[in-house]
Amino acid sequence: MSTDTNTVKPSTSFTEDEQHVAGNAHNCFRAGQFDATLGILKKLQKSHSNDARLMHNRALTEFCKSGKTKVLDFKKSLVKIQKLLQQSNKEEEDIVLNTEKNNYISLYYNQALLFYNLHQYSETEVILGHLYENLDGSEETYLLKIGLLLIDTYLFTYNPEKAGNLISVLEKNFLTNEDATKRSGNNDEKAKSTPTLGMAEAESLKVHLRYLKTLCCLQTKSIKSSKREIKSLTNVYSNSGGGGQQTNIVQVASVFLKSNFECVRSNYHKAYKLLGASPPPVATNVANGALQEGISTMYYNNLAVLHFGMGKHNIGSFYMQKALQENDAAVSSATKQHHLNNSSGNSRHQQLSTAKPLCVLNLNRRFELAYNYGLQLLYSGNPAAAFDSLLLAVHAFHANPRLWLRLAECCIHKCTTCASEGKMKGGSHTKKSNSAFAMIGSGTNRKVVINTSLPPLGTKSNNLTTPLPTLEFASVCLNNALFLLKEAMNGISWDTVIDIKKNNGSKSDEDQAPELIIACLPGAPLSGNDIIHLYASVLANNAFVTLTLGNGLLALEYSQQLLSLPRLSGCNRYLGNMYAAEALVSLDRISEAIQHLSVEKISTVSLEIDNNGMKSPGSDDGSVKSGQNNKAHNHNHVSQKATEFVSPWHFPSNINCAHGYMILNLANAHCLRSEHEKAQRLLRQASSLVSARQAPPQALLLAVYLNLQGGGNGLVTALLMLRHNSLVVTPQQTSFAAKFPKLVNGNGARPPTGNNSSSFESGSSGGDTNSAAPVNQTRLKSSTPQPVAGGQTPERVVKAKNNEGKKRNRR
Amino acid sequence: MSLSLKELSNLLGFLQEDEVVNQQFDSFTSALQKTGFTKQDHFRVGCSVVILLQHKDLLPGAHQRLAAIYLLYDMYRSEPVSANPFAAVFVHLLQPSLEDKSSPQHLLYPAHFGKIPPISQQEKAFLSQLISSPNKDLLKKTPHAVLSNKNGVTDTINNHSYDVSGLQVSLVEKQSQLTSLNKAGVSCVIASPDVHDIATNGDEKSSQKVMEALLTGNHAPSKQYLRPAFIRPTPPLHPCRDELVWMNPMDTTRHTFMWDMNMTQNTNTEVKRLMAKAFRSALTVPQQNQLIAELNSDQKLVHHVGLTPAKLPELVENNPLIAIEVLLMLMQSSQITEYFTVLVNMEMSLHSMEVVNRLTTAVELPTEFIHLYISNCISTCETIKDKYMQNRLVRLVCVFLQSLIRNRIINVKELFIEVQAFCIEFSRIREAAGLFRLLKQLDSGDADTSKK
Repeated sequence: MSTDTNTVKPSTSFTEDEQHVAGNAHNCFRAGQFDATLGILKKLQKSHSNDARLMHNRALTEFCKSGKTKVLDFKKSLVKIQKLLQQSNKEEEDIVLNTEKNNYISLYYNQALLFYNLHQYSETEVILGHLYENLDGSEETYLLKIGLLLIDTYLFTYNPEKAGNLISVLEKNFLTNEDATKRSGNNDEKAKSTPTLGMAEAESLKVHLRYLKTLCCLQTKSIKSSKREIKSLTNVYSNSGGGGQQTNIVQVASVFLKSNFECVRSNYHKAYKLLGASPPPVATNVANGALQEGISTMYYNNLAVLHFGMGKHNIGSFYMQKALQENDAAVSSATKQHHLNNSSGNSRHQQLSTAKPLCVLNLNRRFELAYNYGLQLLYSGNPAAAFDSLLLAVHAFHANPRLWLRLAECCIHKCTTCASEGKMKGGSHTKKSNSAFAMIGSGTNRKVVINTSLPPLGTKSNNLTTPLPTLEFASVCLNNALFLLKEAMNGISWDTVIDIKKNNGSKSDEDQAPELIIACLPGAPLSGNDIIHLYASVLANNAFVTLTLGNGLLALEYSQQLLSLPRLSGCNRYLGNMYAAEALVSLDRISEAIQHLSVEKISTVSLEIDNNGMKSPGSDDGSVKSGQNNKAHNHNHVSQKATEFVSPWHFPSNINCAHGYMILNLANAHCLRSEHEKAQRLLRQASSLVSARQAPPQALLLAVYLNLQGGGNGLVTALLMLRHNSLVVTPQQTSFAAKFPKLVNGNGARPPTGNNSSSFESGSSGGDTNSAAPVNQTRLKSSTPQPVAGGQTPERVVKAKNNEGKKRNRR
Repeated sequence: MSLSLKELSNLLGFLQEDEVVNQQFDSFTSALQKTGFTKQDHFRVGCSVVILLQHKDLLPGAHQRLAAIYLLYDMYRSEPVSANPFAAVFVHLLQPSLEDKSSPQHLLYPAHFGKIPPISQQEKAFLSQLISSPNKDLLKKTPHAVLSNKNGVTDTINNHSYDVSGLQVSLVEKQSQLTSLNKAGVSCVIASPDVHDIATNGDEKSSQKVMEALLTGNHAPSKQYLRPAFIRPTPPLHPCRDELVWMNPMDTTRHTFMWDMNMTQNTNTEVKRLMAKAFRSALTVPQQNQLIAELNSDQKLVHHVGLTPAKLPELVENNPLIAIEVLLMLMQSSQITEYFTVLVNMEMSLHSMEVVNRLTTAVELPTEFIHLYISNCISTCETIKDKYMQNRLVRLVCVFLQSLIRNRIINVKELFIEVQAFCIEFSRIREAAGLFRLLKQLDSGDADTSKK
């Protein structure tokens, strides 16, 4: 009948007989008699070998016959049928293809559902989106099925707005007779148009949509509406409390929702109480065992999330571990269960008992759990394990820039903590508690070897892409993150990113401009300030890594990019300046470096973006406070570790300390310009800002260096500093210094002549008054950094050393 | 850069005090080769030698020290002195040293960290001759001969300083290419003699041990250097907000695979295909006829051909005839208002006007719809920039309005002011003037009737 289409369309039309047979096939299929269905389909195919629908139904039947285990086969055959269709439409244009898809709704829906069950939500979203757009109003059963699946998908991909719109569309189309009682206006015609659902069905759909709506509200974090939705939902649940099994799950679900609500409000303790009240559910019913066990996985996962929120990362990771175990157990038992159910009829399936049916694949949430677990581990200070876990997650979520940053953080923290641990243990030949130096030899040959080299952070690996927690791999991860972010921004300027955020903030929920949102599955997507913050963190980490790997030029580039961002957290501004300065020094641009090291620029090192500090979403009972506590806690956690051993790379815990470090670096820079006196002065200033326990080894090395450069007197001071691992040589430490006179002249300390009663100190001060000053003493005095008490020591020592020389008054 | 244990013992054996005392300098090269050091090893050897020189206790013999200094020269003899990596050592040694006399305690407590103790005048004389104008005779000497050369002392004491400025300049030039960071390194070995430890004092074995510790191994101190190190804080963990996945139970039982119910149904794929094409391009007349015939054959079919309100404009633009037919078929459906809304708001064109015109004649359209459409047309005419197009459109609108008025589809009164203003604005166009006349006529006619 067609005149101009030269397609390979179904050759012959179906006879009435065949149509009748096809109806039988459907009945058989519905009854679960897949063998019989297959028989009929095969027969039909003899005369219609190229019919896409036949092929599709056959593939579906075969898939179902295998107990939904032959997922791959089904997927392949669906793709094959699609290709066939595409081929027949080759000369047609895209739009034709898209509408063409709606001729085969079942085919595409099934494919989408397959992707959905395999957790490939973006594919599902694309397919269903096309189907939904091209639906014409009449296909209501399709609309419902597609709509429901699409809503679920939107929820998984964090598109609460789209999901919400779709929910209201479905409500309008299928639940209007419910509303009709309220609005008696135009209900007549609409009630007529929705006869597809029975009362019970409509009721359950209504509850289901309510539930989905609640999830939407929770995702948009609108406190008020989620509160309202949860309330009405629990009302509905309590009203409709019917069959035992159903209510159990419903109860659990509502408890989860309530807890989630409190979690969104950062009321973690309340959330914990709510969640803790629900007992770790036990499989009560065999038929629904899988669902139940899935719930216990979720239960532990959510518990872990709460503990993470409370800052108890170790407990959190414990629960995460439990969740992972539960997940594995659930998967294996569900697989077993499934095969038990299926194989009763058909013995052939026992061979396939290792193959996992589709519902089990859907149940398995290993990658999300691995993601959560990895984060918990990272925060609980176990970067190596976190790395492994996140590496697993990255297989599934490789488009998430934040995940790549986390991976890099694992590498960096693994390297820095390992190195410092190694340093702690590694001083094997000294046996001294401090590792600043080593003693070699004895007698006249005794040497002090300063432990100059910071433990190497980067291990040289040839293969950059080998996923090992090394700095090289961190750099790969960070470049991935940077690439993903840049691509997502796609030339949008920062101003627009922020402005949109600002406008949205002022006009609440109104959507006036398309907001830039970067998806970060499986977590919530980023927008506005969060994007800029993530970008900044990636740059800061990248600067750190490249600097450590010795690429000063690139590090400078990254840190300058970082500093040019329109909004920065105090922490990142600090880091940017520090890294830029170090990179500049490595490029021998010291005066530029010094400009970066001005303390005045840094007023805070908090992790929050400085202006427009976003509060955790509205909370009424002091939950903001708890949120802040958590942050403080996080911070403490880091600094707690630091007090055990000051790693050369640890981040300063307070602003004073940060200033101290910056001044130390400034001192370093001046020292490199041979401005030793200035460096000494800065060093003194820094040591007043940094408590002795927080002083990083670099500070000591600098002090030692300056003293060594100073000449003879400084040498002794340097040795004292090394020995006491302190920037300041105090009178209490002079007991060591007292040995030097003996060393030098072998006849012991000089008799005390001063007014001090304590033997050594008085000895020294007494000695000062009447013994000779060395030739170069005046010079040394001005250049040694010793504040107050320490000043005595070198003088005395030098004096003692020179006591064979001419004696003269000290002026 | 460090030596192996064997290399160290070879080097020390080579520098044995009794060995070198009477060895001629020119035999050093071959002797060194004999001990197994090749050209590649020279720098490592040199570095080690410098450390030994810096610490007098490790290389106590005067002859040894001279031999060691010569060794530094000898290893790079083939190149000019300024290219010798240890040229700085020579410059340092030839500096006039003020502390020569003042500190006899050097050995016990070196006040000057990291510096090679000064050498005697004889040695200086030898060294300066060596680097400025080496000759065969000089190399024929032995360390012993140099050191015992009392005559030389008197010679050189007169010209106390040696001219190394040329060498110094070339060194500075070389170093200026280095970054200050690279120039800042100093040795990390500090002598800290413990005189009390008499038992091991000056012990041969202990110094051997120390040398091993200093010069051998993977992390030998000789390889390392002390220089200002920047504090490079690790970036703290990115704050974690909303990052963890909270899980809520999802009811997946609602999603089931679908059986394709249309199997073996002789479906209207052809109609859908044609319809999809109609959205994209104008259909041929037979195609149009076929499509309309098929649609007419089954009243419900029109709901299943993939037409949605969003697609109506495309259909109108490409196939107005089909659009009219389809809209007429859809008049009874609940969606028709949506279709009308789309039609009103679509861009004005000949086709859309044609469709509306035909619709007005065929069925009774809601008046708001027509009014909205007319205002839309008028505003389009007013805002369009292209003069030619404007004229065309104005003509079209005028004709359209006239036909509407003549057919009494609209009541002019309701739109009188708007239409009048439109006519006045475009009075230069003939059709507009005609429309204006018609309006006046109607107005007066109305007035007449009302008077009567």
